Amino acid sequence: MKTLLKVENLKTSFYTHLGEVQAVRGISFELNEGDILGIVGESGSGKSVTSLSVMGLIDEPGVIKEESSIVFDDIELTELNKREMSNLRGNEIAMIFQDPMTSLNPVYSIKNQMTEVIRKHTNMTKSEALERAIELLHMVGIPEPEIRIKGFPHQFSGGMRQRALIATALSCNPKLLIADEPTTALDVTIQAQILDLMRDLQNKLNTSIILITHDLGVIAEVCNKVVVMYGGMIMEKGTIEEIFYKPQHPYTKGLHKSIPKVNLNQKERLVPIEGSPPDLMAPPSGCPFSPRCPHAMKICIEKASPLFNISESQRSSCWLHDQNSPQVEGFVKVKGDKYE
Amino acid sequence: MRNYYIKRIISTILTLLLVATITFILMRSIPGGPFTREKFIPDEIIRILEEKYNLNDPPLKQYFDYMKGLVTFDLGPSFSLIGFKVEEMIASGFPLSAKIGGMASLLIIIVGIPVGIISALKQNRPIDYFVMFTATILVTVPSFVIATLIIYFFALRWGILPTFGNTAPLWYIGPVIALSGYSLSFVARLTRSSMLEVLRQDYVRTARANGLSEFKVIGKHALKNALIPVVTYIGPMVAAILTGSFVIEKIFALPGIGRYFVDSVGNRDYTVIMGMTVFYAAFYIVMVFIVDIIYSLIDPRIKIDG
Repeated sequence: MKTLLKVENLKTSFYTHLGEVQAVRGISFELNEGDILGIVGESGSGKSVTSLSVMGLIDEPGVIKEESSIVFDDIELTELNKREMSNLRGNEIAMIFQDPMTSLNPVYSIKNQMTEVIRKHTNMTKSEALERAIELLHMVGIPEPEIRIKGFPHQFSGGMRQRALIATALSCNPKLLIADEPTTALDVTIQAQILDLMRDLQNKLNTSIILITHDLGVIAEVCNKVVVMYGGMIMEKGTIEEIFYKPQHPYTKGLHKSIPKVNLNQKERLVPIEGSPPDLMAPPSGCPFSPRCPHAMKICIEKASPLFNISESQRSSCWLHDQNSPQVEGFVKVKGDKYE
Repeated sequence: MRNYYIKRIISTILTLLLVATITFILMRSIPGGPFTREKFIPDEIIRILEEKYNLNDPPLKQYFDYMKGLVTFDLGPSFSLIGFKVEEMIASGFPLSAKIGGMASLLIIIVGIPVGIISALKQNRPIDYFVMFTATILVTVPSFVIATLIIYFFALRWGILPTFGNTAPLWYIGPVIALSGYSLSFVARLTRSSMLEVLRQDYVRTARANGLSEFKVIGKHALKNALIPVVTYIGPMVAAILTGSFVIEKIFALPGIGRYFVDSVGNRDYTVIMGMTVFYAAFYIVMVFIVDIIYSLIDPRIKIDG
């Protein structure tokens, strides 16, 4: 399988009046063709900034730092100029956003907004573009697309708007679709429908997807790979099975304990993770999770841990995997210098 | 659609009748009359004058007589400009006021909106500071000061522009600039803040994420939304500007409609006050109606129907 996206040492900061906010602090991950990668983390963990960095949509006062590298389909995105980047956006890489209610322009019809994007990236005529748009709306499950396409966003429900946005995003057969919390603003039944739709489309079109969410349930439902982010850094990454059945990092473990389980026989208390996320204006010099970590050691506060190779696909950024650290139950020791 | 227009016309007529009635009552309530002068006028002469203009009729009869005239577009004779009828005064003064007002409105739209957009796009850069500084000054400095400065510098000191008269095209420059200063700055500021607001919207980000060029993102997706509040302001503004400005017309010695209006209040020239007020109200209503139609063209969420 070919590597489609390779993000290396991505650092994105916002220079505000109060100082530098380090939203993303040197993260690396890869995405193969056909993958559905979930990026999970709480608010402010840097997941949205990561996706906007890939899209080249970081606005002032945000800056992607020099040492960062984002290689998409063998192209180094950080070196492209504005024009080259906008030719890629919506064409090779598409994105859908959190709130479908406000993501469509209220003063233009769906037809206008869809055909505009199609015609920007292809040589289609107006009528061909319209045909294509209708076909796309049909594909995402909007009934009577020939009629509905003439409608305006306010005539669409939230779920239908998200479908229309997905249809627009897929209009040029992108190789990569980034979905930033696509279901957060929708109610639960619609959420399930949208997720089903995305999975279906992925099967049909073989588009790689990055799904950003704070909902582990959503990740479990659609993804095959997971990256867990915290405080602008990657805490753990691996396949869906590894993250859900063999989590290694104390943060991932904490997340699992705080998910309600359907268990009719037993009453079980949820265990929250005490404390609050770090201030990215002055991030801790060591592991960002150390102030909240039940296992924190002296080294955790001083120095961030490298990513230890737990398996072929799983990495965890925790000093407890080091040979010299004390033995704690549930933490695998990694032999030698196997970390990146 | 047809129902809507019928409703609109009925409400317009009712509004105008109400405006006429209120003006009539207010006017008779203020002390003094058309023939009150500092100089002593014998009672006999006043009586004859009042008789001539039917001012000694009972107020209710005067009211109905006036309304009858209004419906037939007979606005009555002026009390101070002997021999002139109010409709003649409007016909003689309005074209010039409208001409200058029209040019000023055009200047406001053509310059104000683009300047506001540029300022928003270059937020917190030197050009933005410059535009906002200039706009603040133009909003705060009254039009008569601007007019006086124009006359002093351009006409008197440098002799580029004439001080008065309306024969050469050059002549219009002074009044048009003085007349548009305030609204021009206001429109620029309004466009800027509205644009800044719209640029933060999610659909602008979507447009960028879809790979549209910056020109299309701004010129198509952001602009149309940003113009909605601007249109709201421009409608009534055009009505106000077209119906003339007393100050500007006085300073540049123009025979426009604004001068008649203000003079008539001082003279208690009842028929002129009434006629001008109703005329102004009608004009205003028409402009608001046009704004409503433009609204429905810009924003599909606003529908015109009965």
